[in-house]
Amino acid sequence: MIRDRSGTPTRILASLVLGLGAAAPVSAHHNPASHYLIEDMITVEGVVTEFRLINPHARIYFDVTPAGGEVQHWFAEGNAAGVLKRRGWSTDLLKPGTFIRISGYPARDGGHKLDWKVIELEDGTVLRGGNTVGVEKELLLEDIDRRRELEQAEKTPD
Amino acid sequence: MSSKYPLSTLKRVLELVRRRSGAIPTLLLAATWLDAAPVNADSPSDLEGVWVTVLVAFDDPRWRIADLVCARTGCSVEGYAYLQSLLDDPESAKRSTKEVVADMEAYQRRFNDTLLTPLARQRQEEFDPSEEASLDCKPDGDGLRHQVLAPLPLEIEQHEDKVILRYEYWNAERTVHLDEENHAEDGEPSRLGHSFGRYEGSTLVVETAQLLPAVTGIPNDKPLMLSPDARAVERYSVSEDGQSLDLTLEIIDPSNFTQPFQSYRRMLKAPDWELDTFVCESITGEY
Repeated sequence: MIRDRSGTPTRILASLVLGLGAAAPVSAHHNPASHYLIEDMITVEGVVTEFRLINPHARIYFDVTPAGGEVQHWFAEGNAAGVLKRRGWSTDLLKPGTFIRISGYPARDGGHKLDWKVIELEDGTVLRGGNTVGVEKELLLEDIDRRRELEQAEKTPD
Repeated sequence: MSSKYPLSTLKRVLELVRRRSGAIPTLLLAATWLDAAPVNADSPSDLEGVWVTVLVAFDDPRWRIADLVCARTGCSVEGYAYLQSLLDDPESAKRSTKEVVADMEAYQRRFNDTLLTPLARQRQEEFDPSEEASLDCKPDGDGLRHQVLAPLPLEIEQHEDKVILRYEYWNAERTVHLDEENHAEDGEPSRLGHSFGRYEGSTLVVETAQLLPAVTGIPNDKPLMLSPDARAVERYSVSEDGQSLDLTLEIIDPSNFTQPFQSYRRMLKAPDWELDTFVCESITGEY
């Protein structure tokens, strides 16, 4: 149909499982390799001070207290709010005071920041929602394996 | 077989792979996938409505496995077709996705190695990350390729004299002028450039130039600044059942690429979706 004037789109109804299918943008808003060491991976534990569900990348601010050391202020960068909200994320997901164990690419400049891959909460809940190309590769491929197995099973006669 | 996909886009894909990869038996299987008759070849595709990506609708059963894989890697036209041929091979059912994708990535690397010019490699070595202007919520640094292949939904409006491409990503909007056949000689460069287009059979073909130089992460995941001479050709067509949109994007930039750099994306019709407002918050100063 070719219209002669604009129409009005209908309301979104998206039902998505939190964290499932957390693929990364084909073209990240800024290139991760510019800011992060994408060949390395670190894990740190801390307590959330603020979660910003924003574009171009969601951000988690958290405090890390090394044994016998002073508190370090960190932040982690994830996928865009536009993607995460459609996967069921909300600002209530990581309230201030929440313990997190977070893994991702470390910063090139050695600062207290990372490009997150996966977040584990104190109760064992695992969150994904990372941003960069490659950061969730292993997890995504496992998801796809499961989907392929289902498709193969459907093709196989009883 | 019944025709599920428009010939205009997909058969071109296969032809490109055949030409560049030689005789690869598994590609015969891709031929089956691609061997479909044109869909209403003489009339424009119905592109109207909202189209979504894997990134926001992973669970939709209409995706092909190749779509899911390419959501992460950003496949070239050739890479997508090659991957599809591997997945269609019954032998692949015994292999993990990781193994199949490794084969595809090796194939892709061989192709990419020939794509960059020496000047492009030099530009990559000299690239300064601070050139990525988009960190301050001004989308200036996000060029046409990032916009066209954005992870967020796209809405298309077709008019007699123009096509409107409206993106959730950066709340951007492009007008493709169907009543023009050239770019104005005195046109000012802009982030998304100037676009005119036409229908070739059922396929919308969009030509864009007058682009501001922008960073892209292709084809080897290293940042590369496209030149002021870069231009683009996009092709949009819809499957016979109206459920999927095939999009190919060619970036032509001779100082960087030895041949047009092509990307392929499949999107799904999402009549119940609407674009959300892209609210951006500056992260300048935290790097």
